[in-house]
Amino acid sequence: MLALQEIRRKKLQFGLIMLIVGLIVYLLVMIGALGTGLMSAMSGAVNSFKVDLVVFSADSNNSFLRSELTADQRRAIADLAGSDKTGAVGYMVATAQRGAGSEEVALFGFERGSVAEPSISSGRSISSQNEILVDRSLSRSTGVRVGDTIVMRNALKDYTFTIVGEVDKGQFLGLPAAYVDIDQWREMRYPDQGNDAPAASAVLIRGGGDTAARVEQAVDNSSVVTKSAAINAIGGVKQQQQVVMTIELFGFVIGALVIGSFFFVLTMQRSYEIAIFKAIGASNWWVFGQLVQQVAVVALAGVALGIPLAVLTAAVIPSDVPLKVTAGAFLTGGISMAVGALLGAVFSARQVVRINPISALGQV
Amino acid sequence: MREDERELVAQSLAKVYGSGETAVEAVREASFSVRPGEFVAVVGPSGSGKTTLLAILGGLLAPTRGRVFVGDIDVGRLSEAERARFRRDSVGFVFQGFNLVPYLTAEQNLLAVAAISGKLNGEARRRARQLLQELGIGKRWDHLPGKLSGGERQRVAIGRALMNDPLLVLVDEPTSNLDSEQGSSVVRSLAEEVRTRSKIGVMVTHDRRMLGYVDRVLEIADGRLRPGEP
Repeated sequence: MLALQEIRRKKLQFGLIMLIVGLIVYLLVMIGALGTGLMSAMSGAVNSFKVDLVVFSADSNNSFLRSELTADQRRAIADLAGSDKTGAVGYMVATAQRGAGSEEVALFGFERGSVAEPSISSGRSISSQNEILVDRSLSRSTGVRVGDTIVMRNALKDYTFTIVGEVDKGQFLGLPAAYVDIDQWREMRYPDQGNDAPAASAVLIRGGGDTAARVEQAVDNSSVVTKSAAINAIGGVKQQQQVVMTIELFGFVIGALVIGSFFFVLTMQRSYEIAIFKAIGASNWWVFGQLVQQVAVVALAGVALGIPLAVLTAAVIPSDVPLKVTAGAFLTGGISMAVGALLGAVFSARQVVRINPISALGQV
Repeated sequence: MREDERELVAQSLAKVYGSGETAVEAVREASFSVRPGEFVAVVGPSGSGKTTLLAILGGLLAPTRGRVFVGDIDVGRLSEAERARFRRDSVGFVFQGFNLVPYLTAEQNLLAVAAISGKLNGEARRRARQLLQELGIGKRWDHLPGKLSGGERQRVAIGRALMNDPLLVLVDEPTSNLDSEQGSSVVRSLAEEVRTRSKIGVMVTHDRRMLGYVDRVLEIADGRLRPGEP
């Protein structure tokens, strides 16, 4: 009651602290959201495949761009891991033509009906070679919709597709993804090579255990990695995540220090009142308890301010900014808040113990 | 418990600040006792050690030598946490500068005492209202200290000192921030509360005009205590 009374009487002082705490929460949530957004833009298409392992060719450095698997390798993998648990994918960069505009697209080919089927968020999956699935980011940037036709161009020629469905979170290396039948991809990726062309860029496997080791051992020139290792192998992803994590760490530490110092300063400013309370018999624990109540109120108010602000920003920010406000981002903000409050409380606790109640008597 | 067992007894109290050649003896060999219902003034010039004496009696400061008993509590031997509990349960302080909590209303300043002991209930609220009524500031209960006159603030401070129903009421220079009319009226109220509620009252002052309201006077000079003239 006394702790809350003080907040009510010192509206400006506490209001400013709440505002700053709120802005720190906001900052941390936004940094987290940008990190998640960047990650999704770089590797969302790979991450959304519902599989556990990825098989590349051994000399490819686990790169979708450089990896080439033969039809024999594809068959050998299916024999080992089960054909119902494997799916081949191909990757290439194509140019989407729509009216006068054009846009680079990460074009994936996949085996229909296999584990490599992307998850559809609207419409249906493809059932023929002239149908295509597009990522929402492509629909947003070019204005195409399910039912429209879209032209994809490789180095030589134009291919016309009908859009039958959309996927969400399908981006790769910053490009929106589109998905076609793997035979169609093979034709576009390796024109004029016929049956000599590689069969796929990679084979996806659902299932763990010793599958990885068995496949790698039995299939010549293969490299089997987990999906997350495949994501980390994407050029720049690792560095980018390191940069984001460093920024997050700094934000986290600075946020914690700012909040911690606030309560420390607040306690110092109130030495006089704390001395009175201690002189009339309040224990250190009681004084500390009052402080903790105030810290809790300020932290809650900060979260209540920062999170809606982040949600609002995410709603109004242009859609080409890679920003994804997630529960994880809120958690980072919340944990930083808790750590900061804890730090402040620990510093302040020392301060509380040091305040001598005799100073309430003035000069002795 | 017999009346005399609830006395305040000081035996050869001494307080030395510092050590060696720079040591200053603020209180020397002070021995006296005060009964419940008795209001005693300690008078002396500033720097005579009277506030130090008050701090020792109230458990804010440990004596260098000698002992203080309040009832059966050996105040000088308590640990820091025990001294806080002693102040909370057995002592009412009226500080020189009022020392009210500025963001709490008159009533809340009294209730803070109950909050500290975890007894903030209807009973405490009734007691706070009654004390403010008795002290003549019942109508000002919801005013912040900043909106009260000096005399009114001092009355709130007295109410706070009585809120925990202490055995010992210690008063430090109650008139130094008041004009003489307000000062007399406040000290009269204090004396009345001490007598009717049977408290052990000790007031430190340099204002000789207030000595008419007390039962006994102790003079202090250079830390030495001797009986004085009322």
